[in-house]
Amino acid sequence: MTALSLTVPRVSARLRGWRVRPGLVLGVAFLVLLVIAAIAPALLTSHDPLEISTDGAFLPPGGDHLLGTDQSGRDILARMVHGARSSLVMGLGATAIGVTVGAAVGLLAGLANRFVEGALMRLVDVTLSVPDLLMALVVIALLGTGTVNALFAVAFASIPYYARMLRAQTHVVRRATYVEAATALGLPRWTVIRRHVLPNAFKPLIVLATIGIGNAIGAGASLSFLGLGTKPPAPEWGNMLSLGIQYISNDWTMVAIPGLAITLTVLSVTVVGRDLKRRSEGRAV
Amino acid sequence: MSIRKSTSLLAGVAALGLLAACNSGGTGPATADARPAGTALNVGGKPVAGGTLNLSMSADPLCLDPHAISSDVEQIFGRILTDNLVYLDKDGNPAPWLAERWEVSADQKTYTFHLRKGVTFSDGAVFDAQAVVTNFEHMLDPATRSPLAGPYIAPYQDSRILDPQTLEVHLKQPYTPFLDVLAQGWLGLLSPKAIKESTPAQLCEKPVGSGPFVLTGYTKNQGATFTKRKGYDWAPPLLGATGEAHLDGINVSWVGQDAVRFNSLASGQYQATGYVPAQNAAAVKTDPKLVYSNVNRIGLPYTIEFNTTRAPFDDLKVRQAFVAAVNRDAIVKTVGFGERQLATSFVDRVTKYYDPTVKLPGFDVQRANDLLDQAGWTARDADGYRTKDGKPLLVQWPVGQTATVSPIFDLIQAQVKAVGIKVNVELIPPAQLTTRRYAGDYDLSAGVWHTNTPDVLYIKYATFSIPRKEQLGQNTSHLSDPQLDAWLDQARQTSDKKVLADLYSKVQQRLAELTPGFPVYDNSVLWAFSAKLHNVVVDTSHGTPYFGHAWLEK
Amino acid sequence: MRHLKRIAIRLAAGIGVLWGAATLSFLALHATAGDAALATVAGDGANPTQAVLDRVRADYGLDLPLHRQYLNYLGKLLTGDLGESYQQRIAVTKAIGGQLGETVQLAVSAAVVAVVLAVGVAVLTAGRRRWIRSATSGAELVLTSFPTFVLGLVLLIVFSFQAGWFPVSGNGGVEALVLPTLTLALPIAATLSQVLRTELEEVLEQPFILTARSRGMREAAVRLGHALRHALIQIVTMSGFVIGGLLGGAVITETLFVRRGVGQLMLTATTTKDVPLVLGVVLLAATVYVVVNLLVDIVYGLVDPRVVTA
Repeated sequence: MTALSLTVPRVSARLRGWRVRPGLVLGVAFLVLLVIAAIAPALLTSHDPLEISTDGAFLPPGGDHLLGTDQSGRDILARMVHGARSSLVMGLGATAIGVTVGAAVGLLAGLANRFVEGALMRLVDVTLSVPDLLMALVVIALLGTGTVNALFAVAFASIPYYARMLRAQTHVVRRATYVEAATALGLPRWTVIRRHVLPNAFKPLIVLATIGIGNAIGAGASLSFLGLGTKPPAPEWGNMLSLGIQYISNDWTMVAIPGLAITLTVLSVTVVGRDLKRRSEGRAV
Repeated sequence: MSIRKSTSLLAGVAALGLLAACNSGGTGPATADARPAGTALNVGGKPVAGGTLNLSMSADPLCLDPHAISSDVEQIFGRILTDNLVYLDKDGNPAPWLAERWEVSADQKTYTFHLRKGVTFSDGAVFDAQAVVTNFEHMLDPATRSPLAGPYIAPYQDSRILDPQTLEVHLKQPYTPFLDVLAQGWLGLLSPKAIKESTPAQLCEKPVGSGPFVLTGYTKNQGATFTKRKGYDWAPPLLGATGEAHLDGINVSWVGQDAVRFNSLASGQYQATGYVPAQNAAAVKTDPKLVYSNVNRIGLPYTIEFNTTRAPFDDLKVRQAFVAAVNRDAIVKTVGFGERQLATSFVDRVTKYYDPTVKLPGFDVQRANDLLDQAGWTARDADGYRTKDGKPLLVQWPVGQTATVSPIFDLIQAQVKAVGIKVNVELIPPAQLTTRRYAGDYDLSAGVWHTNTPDVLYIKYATFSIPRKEQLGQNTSHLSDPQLDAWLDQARQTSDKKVLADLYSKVQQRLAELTPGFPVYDNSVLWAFSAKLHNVVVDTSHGTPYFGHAWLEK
Repeated sequence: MRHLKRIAIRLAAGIGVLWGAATLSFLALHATAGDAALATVAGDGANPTQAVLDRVRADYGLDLPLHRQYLNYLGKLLTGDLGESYQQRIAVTKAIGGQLGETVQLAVSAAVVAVVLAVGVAVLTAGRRRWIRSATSGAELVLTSFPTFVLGLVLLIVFSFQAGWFPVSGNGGVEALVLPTLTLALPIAATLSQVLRTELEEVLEQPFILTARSRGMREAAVRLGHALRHALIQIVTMSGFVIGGLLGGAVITETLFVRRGVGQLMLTATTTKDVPLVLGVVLLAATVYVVVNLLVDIVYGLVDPRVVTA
């Protein structure tokens, strides 16, 4: 949830430039819609996402069911709206865990002596060398399927990337003139780290994490797509998509709708993340 | 039948309901006295020789030794690669194949087979009494790791070769299903030379049979190629035709995704598919370029079973309540797309000695609520689920983790929620599922068990079949009833049809009372092939396609 | 000499990474629930006898204590023996070898397509008119946002199910390779071309480009000649990302297009607890990772002697 509170105010502060970047505005608007869906799904749909109707399977879009119904007669719009929460929780939660643990490891490596750094980075190498999906599979085999466990799996796989990034950043900052000056001035080591190294090392991390949220949502949906994520009958987009494939000849909207939602979500997060990145690098918008 | 098989089944491996349709038209529901088995489909025209059949199947068994696998692929492959001692006739009775005739001793323990002359395996080995003995021993050797063939002939003791064409087989105890199981694809006969000269693992890669086709190539997870066996002339006499196959060969590919398998069939990339997903049946039926078949199979219908040894389903009333809370018609309609038929007993309606008078209780929410009240589950928790002594009425249903979970679990979960039962569907990897199954750690399990005899009821419900330390077993409901055991044992000891009909009828009636589970829909196998492929025969044991006499229009 | 020593150290570290990856995976797999012997013989409609189960346990040493199993595994590993796949009953090297070609074929064709596309698009669009750049970067953004399985599905439905231009599935021939290759290549190409264009636009403003142009060099030659050199360095820098993307995407792509390959192998091996096979795939992936990093390191050392990475 921290990442969310970090992004949203920044975004709103930037709405001044919306005339210039309609893509950004659309992205933000879509994300706002998602947040509403996640917090108060009842505002967007009156149907129960779990309510089954064996007489009302595969209804086409329109009428009482705006997006139609699935193979068990459940309202697809309701499932999409209620599924938003699990996507957002996946994106934010996995990124938060990945960033926190990754940052701690990276910072430690960047600030520690050569031996500790070497050991930590070899450990990071080991985890990087095992394919992400295999890691996820093993984590899920250990913990069982479910939204939270898939979240851990995605988070776990992202740790080494953040760790590497923060370590490199720490090195850069440590060598920067202002930090060397501060050290030369005789400020205590920890004070230098707290005042100069941390803030400057974290800035790009936040930007990277914003984009990482999009990746985490995509990765979470991929796991569900392979049957390793959220348990049925809970609504989840990746899950809905893989079920939809089975019935693609009967009703293609069952694939198109969740596919579009996942892509738009990742796209929106990326657009916002890119914008943050550009601004943090001081480049023209 | 394992829980795992059930998931593949629901992924579209089988469906049921219609008789073999001779073309896209389809026909009415199957009845017990109108079996499609043995029927040739898409007949007519003058056979032409040549052509290769491209066949898609759902999953690679990873081993092609019929004795070493339980994959349902073998139901089709068995008829391509191997021959059996016997073949079932249209009524499900054993008829001659490589055994021309046989005698059974009065104590039902000695079988004397008179074997066909002039049969050879494709590596040149001769089919004789010794070959049969070598096969039996191979099936029973633990090194083979036989999951079906060996267990099906478990009562085998030893054999005496009277002469090359006469074999006397001794059983440890009477076991009348012996002849039936000998007709199954998994018990197809392999070359004794190949068995002797290969390790079991090598035999997996390159089994050698005497069937109408010879395995010429096998790439794991990709496919297998078969070419016509020159000089083949020993097909089951019942099938009428003799001689070599018309087709030059069969190329098999594994296509795991249902949607992809259907689309590649419709696009003509394959001329036949072993398994059509039920949801695509309608499209297949209306496609004039395709011939569709939906054949019921002998054995246990798709059945949901209770673990009767632990709470809450150790209480008959709770089991009955659960059954009453489930609307089976609605489920069959939703998952079957009109291709599945409501099950009416603990055996599929095409099984010998199926009893049509069995009454399975129907959908009755009021009755379900009353029964649960009587069983003491009267209190309710905040979510509306029933509780007793502070414990919620929660049942665990471990299910194989797959991307394509059947809607059946969601449907049942939602239906029984209405009477206050909470079903927790747990998706777990196959390795864990198998382990929990044998540990008895579940409340519900689901699946089919296809065999070709009513002895399936012994496999599923005899006390002997309960998994325990010394042995694995398929009695997943852990039902143990002395009366049932007595009838099932007697049925294994008699070949008197009248007695058998009476015994199996009593067993089915008793099962309906004991409610170890509830059959949902009859297990049928759904397949399709190009209209250019002619004379495909429905196998009498498995309901699957037999390509031995098929021919491909140019 | 300094380089050789550095490479030797990296190589030793690489072997350490392999050992770490194998050990980590071994422990993790054994910590997961599920009896490997049961999973091997008692799944899918099987009704084996206890004797069969006992035999499998004995054959694979599954009845030994865990540390013995681990030591046995390491011991065999030192002699180059990766063991036998429980499910497939063939040597792990053979099981992987049988699938590797397909995955390599897919990965290489995707890598080539990605690099060619990225370089082409970057060279053509860098420093061009605003609308061209906006349109391209918009397309790139969309492509990078597509999760692999959604992109693959769109391609599959549009070009295979509907248009019928490509076979729906399988490993047969070039046609069957087109859609999986694109699925895998497009997101990587989009990311690469973004980076390349930014780089290129910076390069094109450098004085030496002006010099080249003023000497009468043609624009195309300037872009191709100078751009490609820089592009290569960027591609080397991003090779880790590219290979990671290929490996990760391969599993999904193979699942979606029903292609055999290492990705599929790993997926089934993990869920059926085929421990030797999973460890074999882990070792393979870790080796690729180590070798690529080593190569990048060596190339950097050659290009820029000042670079010393930890």
